[in-house]
Amino acid sequence: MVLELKRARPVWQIMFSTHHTDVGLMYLIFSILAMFIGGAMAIALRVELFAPGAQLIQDSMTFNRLFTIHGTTMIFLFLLPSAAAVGNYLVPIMVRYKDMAYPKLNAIAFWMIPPAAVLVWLGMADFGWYANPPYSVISAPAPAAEMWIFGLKLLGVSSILGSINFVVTILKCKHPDLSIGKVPLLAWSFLSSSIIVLAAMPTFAAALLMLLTDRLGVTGFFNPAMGGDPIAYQHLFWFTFHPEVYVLVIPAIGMMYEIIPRFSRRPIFSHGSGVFAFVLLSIVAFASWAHHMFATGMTFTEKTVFMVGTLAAVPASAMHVFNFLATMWNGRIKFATPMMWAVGGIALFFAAGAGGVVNTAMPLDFITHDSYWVVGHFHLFVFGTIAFGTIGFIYYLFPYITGRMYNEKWGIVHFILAFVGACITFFTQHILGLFGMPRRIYDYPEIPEWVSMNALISVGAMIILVGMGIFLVNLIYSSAKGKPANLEDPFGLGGKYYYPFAQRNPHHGDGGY
Amino acid sequence: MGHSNWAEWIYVAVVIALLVYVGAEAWNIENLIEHTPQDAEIIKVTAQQWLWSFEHEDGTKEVGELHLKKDHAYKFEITSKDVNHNFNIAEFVVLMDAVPGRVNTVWFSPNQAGEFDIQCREYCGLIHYNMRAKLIVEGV
Amino acid sequence: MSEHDETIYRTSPGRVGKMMAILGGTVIVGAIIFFALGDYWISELSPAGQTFAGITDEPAAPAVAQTGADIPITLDFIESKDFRTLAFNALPGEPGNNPTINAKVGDRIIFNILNAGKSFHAFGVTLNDEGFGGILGNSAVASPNNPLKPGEGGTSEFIPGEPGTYYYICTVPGHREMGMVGTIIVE
Repeated sequence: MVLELKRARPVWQIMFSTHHTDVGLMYLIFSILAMFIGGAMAIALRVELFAPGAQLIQDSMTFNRLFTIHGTTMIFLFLLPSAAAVGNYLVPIMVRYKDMAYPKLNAIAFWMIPPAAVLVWLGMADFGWYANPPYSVISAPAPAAEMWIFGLKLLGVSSILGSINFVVTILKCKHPDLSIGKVPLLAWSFLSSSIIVLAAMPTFAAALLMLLTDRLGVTGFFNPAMGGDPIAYQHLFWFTFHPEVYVLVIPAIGMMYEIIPRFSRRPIFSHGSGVFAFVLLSIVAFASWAHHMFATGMTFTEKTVFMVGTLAAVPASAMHVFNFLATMWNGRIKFATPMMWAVGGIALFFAAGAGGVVNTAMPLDFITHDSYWVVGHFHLFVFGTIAFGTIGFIYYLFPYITGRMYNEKWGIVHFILAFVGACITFFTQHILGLFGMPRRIYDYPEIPEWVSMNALISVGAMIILVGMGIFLVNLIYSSAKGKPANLEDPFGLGGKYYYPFAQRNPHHGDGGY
Repeated sequence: MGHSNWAEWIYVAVVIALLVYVGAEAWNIENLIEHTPQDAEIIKVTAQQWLWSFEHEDGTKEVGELHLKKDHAYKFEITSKDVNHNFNIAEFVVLMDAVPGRVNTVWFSPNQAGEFDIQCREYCGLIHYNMRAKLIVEGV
Repeated sequence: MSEHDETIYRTSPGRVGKMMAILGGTVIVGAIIFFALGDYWISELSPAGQTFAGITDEPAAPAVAQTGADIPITLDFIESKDFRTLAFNALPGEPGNNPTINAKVGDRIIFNILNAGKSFHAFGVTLNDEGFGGILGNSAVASPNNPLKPGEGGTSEFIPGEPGTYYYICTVPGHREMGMVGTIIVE
């Protein structure tokens, strides 16, 4: 990691490097940058929605572009690259190999992302991150829509290439003395999520191509005026993106599997259950996609099938929650910053899942579909679980990457602000949805409950913003001027809790020391 | 694993039991809801960017407003002229996509008189946020 | 590669600062490109969208030279309070609502358009008796995907080459049906 070099390198050497730690670092910096850009868009949206009428944003087209690119940025440019960052850094170490299986392919997979981001950000399309036709075919303006389509094509290919790398590294390049059952759970999480990507992503690549040719007027897959079916796109899209949300959550759960046993100073309650739950979740993830389409006019039987498929995934997630709680039980827990984030993440994960069970109960979906309930629900997942797990893990990796400790007090302050802000923002959104407010609307009528809840939600978002500002300052200041960390035991847990893998790569001679 | 995990088995069993209950109850209720009464009056709903228009059985057309009678069953036949919309009367939990090239149906029977909001619940472009109509239920 | 007595860093703070300056500069350049071309990214319809709206490359009527008089007319987009009714110049029932224009073949009708409402509008002349497509010649002011914001306006002109009934409309989908349409009778 940071310690294996003799002298400070020129930055371009890091950028052209194919070594897994350098590629991981680039993914990490890019994803944190994208998080702040997507977050700035979210703050713009919440300032506008603070009250009825136009505040910050003077027209609905700008608002529509902002929420589209907010969603696209957060999912494709923050969450996926941050998972790739952690995976690149740690998977080779965890399987005791010297690098990823295909280092040059690894670097290519990263470098596809900035041009794709430029395409997406410059165009700022306006059709929501789903890009549902017919709107995205006949009504969404060009060239923004085409730029988005090409950008996402690149991002999908990047994801597939990264996944190939993870699967081959874990299955084929692991050390001969390491049996697959003993591979750490974080590596298992990357194996599961990579296999899901390989199975699911090509469907979206096909859907994007069809969307493009439809826009050009050459085909009519989704254009009813040419005999097509708009709902076919939704099936293709959600066949990819329902499993994709598991691709997002599984690495975050894997990261919690690194943090929680260490900071509880106890081994994981059941490694076997963790492996089983990951594998089961990966399979069942494919059985539930059309629960996003309950309002499109599906028949009763179709809806029942997908309701059952959705419910079937819940026990696997529940097993992870049990594993975490049972690990913490009777542990001598150190509530340092990474642990706080992981525990907060588990709590919000549970709440998100509970809300999801409500959505999948068919009659209840008629109340919640396309309302702010759904917005609150998925944000509890992507922010409350995945971002919490990721940010906690960034704090955990910080001493290893930079050699310095971040400021612990400000890390806890950041956590408290983010947790309180998340509860205020996203739980209130659930209730607002029950009161009927649709999503993706630029302005709303002066219904008293809507006005007061929107104001409260915007306040919650500002609280999160303050926390993120503290995070940024902490990261930058501590990486330059933080206290040098004790790399044998940066968090003062007592050295043996960092087993089973050494912090230094044993491939580098002298047992890594 | 060299320790007993009976607690885990019980926990998973409880979770599965809860989910089975939710699923069965949902199946039951959905079955009831989907059963359109025979005597429901058919209202054709046409969604377009960015307004709602309605046609009653007797040919009466309304744009932006819908007059119905309390405690009568109505079945909406919903379609769109251009992009996806979603016909939503939040107060009565009426919700169904308006998809061009397709007719979706949903029924309800308003049990309260008064004025209610009809809104669009599927992003449809520039004025999606203001694609509203008024439902007026006349009590008898 | 294996003697480590003191902490060694990946790169130096000065070099990181230089990289941040280069990347920051790139982001600023990107932002300038984005904001300067802000309207361009959302200005066109896709080919399929143009087909759907009935918009074609060839003008619906051949270009005509002016042989008659100039007819200037001012048309303001206005809206009722509840946004249910839209019109030009005055609401239905009031004098001046959707004024009818009488012209002869070869006259040049000069439109002075102003968006006096709170929503978005755009203008055009069409032969179609319903819908928002088939906009003729150079008669368009703004377009549905790049409409006039409140307070904005523009001018355009239209020279009819054939007698008949033409319609001037707001080309934002749905607005014609809500009342923004008037007739031009050409002899």
